[in-house]
Amino acid sequence: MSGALIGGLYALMSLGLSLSWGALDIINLVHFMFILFGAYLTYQLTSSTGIDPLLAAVIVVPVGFVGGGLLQVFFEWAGLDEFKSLIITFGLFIILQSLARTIWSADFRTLEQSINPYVSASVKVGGVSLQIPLVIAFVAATAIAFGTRALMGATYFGKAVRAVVHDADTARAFGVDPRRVGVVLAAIASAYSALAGVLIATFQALSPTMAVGWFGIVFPVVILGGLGNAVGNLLAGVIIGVAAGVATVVWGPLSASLVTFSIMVLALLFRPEGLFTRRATI
Amino acid sequence: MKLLDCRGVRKSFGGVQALQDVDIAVDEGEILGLVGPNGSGKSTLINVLSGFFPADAGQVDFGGMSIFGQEANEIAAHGIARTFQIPRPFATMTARENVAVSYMFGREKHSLASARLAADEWLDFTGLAQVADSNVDELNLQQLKFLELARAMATEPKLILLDEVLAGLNPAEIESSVAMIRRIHDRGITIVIVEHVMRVVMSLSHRIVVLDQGRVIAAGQPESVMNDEAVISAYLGGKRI
Amino acid sequence: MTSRGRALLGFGVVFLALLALPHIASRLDWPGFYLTFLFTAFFWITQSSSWNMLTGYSGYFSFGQGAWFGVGVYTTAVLAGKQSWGFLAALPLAGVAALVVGLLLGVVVFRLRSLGGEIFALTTLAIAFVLASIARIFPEIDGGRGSFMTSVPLPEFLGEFRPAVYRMTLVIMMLTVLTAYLIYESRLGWGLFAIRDDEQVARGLGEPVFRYKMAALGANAFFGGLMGGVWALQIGFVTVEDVFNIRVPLFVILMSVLGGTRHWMGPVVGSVIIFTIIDRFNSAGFEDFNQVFIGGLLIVLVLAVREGIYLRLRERWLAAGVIFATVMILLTLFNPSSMVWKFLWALLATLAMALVPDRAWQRLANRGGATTSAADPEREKVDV
Repeated sequence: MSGALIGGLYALMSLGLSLSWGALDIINLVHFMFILFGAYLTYQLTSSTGIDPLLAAVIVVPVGFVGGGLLQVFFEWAGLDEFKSLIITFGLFIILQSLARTIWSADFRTLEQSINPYVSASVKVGGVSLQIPLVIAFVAATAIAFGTRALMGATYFGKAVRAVVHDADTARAFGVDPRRVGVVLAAIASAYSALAGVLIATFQALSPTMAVGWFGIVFPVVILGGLGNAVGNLLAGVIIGVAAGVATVVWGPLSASLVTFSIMVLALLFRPEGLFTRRATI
Repeated sequence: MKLLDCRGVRKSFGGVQALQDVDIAVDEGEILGLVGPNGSGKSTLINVLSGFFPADAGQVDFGGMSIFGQEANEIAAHGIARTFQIPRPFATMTARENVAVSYMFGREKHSLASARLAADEWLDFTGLAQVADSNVDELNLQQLKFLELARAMATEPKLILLDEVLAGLNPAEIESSVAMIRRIHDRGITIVIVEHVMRVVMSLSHRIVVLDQGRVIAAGQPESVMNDEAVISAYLGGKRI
Repeated sequence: MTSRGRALLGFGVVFLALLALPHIASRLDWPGFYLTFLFTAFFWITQSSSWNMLTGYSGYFSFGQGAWFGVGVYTTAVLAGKQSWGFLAALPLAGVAALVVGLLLGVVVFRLRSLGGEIFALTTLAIAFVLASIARIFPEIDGGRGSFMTSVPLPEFLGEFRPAVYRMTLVIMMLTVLTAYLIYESRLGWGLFAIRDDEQVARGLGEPVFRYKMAALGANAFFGGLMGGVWALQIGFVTVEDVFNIRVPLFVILMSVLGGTRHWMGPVVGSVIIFTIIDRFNSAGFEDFNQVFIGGLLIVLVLAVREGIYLRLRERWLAAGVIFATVMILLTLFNPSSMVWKFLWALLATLAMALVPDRAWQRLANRGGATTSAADPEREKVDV
């Protein structure tokens, strides 16, 4: 059950990458760092000022938003091909990870229980005890997933994004500026990642190298859910969460990443466009 | 003798049916014009025939053998070449290198050593000998289109699919392109030409096939096809602007 | 003599010279450290060159060099360390095992019609991590406690330990770079570069794209794993953290990008330069800064140096040779410090020269009266 809940968090962690990859056609590894820094900043704010960790989101998420936007502006300005962009996001990943280690040291950091009311709080639903942070994460993830779908489907911005993804030149002819759309989208995606970071800080111990452990979660979710497919991403998150949870119980914690990776490989072999995307090959 | 024979070809993308039950036959040595309003499925058909998209259903035979569902490189090995509407040369190579690479992998595989000379031959044929050593970013549109042709020719095809090769050219360039197409045809290569410039299609083609909304609505001699009522209304918009 | 003949002769000469080095070293009583320095350099040259054969030539970005390396290491550690196979019997299998893993990955990913490149990058990023988990889980492989290689005996004919390692790494390196060269000058090489430019078009021209990608990936994985086997031997004690970390994949990217990914010599040059720098950094105690420096360097390089410095060096070979020699001589005369430091400074000076942008260079060359190079420095003219 908690596997399903944590799946919500997994989905939120992956949504940023999924959106930016789907729309901007580049795997932006810096998203992992948005999550990590989101978590560390929350930790820092809460430890220093004692405010509720979730409230810290009010500061952290906009920081993520701006950061992501600026990064995209840089990419647009530099006008690099995919090869070089990938190298740059990788380089940034490395630098930021080192930066995190320099600032916060390699030791595990956890929010003290005195300032973090969430860490061991739980609620009983139908006889099963659920950790509150996970519940919050799940609710947030669901709301954002459906909200994003609405955003993409119904609003002008959403249509603009889809137009640009489909055919940037034609979109331009209709008055849509692909660069601006790209920047806003990147900003939103980074904000999502930062929010995921906030939630992580409420119940997990932070360490600078934890981002590497997320590879085995985020990538399978993104593949399984389909690029840019917000709700698909949520469902994929739940599936991966359950799979990882079951694997941990049955075979031990180390096997979880093996299982999720295998799921990803199977998806690549049989349904690379994602479980929840209609088969549209172009 | 039928070189290319398509029956019942279907292709859809998501909810859009791009090709429905398309039957087309191309005789060896002819020039077949493929026309139709925008969005009628002409480019999709080219992509399917050359193997860039797999068709959903139908039969496609080339030279008597089925090529349905084959990869683009297998189809090229059979002898079908195509050009792109917006030229897609290998950006980091010179004109000669572009053609040489093409020669190396075409219908018959050739060695690296022989590719250089062969490339020069095709560059000569398309009048690009002067710019053989130039980077592709130094070539103008007309030259890039001729480079597409040279590359296609270097694969030693039996059939070339020309996808709107005249798009974006001025009248003088169109004239020289038409002359080039005739010279290609004179070498015994069968041609399917997708084009919007009607007078060219009319004068070049032995036969014309008209597509509208993924269906073949007319096929036959140019004069009679263009006077066909269904064709006229398709172009003038019973159904679309 | 054909250009290929000349190149092969060059390879032969270099190989023999390097092979003779340990004998010269013991005659001249050089510190053993020099051999270690060299064989570590050979290690990096091998990893970068093999990586470049796939990523540089075909454009399919691989983060997975650590995976091939790791498979090689652990195959050797298990067979020779735990199972008491002879080292020379286990070593080829290190390469083969990595090859098999690589090809499996290729089969899954290379047939994808769209997004193949990105998904490949992503799976290679994840695979090292997954392999690390596998190694940790199964005690037959590692079990989290590390494996000892110190008791593995080497055959007599290889001689003492350090020279033996040196010779083995030398042979593997020569094979790898030779393969990179041969591919570069072959249809396979041209095909890979065509894939890098536009895979769809290449396929449409009749190129057997899948087969070629698999070939490149195979070469990459094989040599990466093979060298991993030797590394396992010389390190003595193998742990999962040591093997499956970000170091190998990161460095090979940096080295190849610096040297130039479009030419077989690029990774060689880049490896020598970066490794020398890193080595001196480490000896000066700057280990912690490594990663930030490298990440930053990578970004700067990608933005500033378009096609890698090897091509620039070839362009400006006279200046390069002169600067390198001058610095080496000056340092020897005025400050006979360790050879490696001299080498480093000479390299840095040459590197700085190579980084001078073209326009400034043309102006300098003009003023000096030397003939300017008419060739476009970014283009590599290959004898087709």
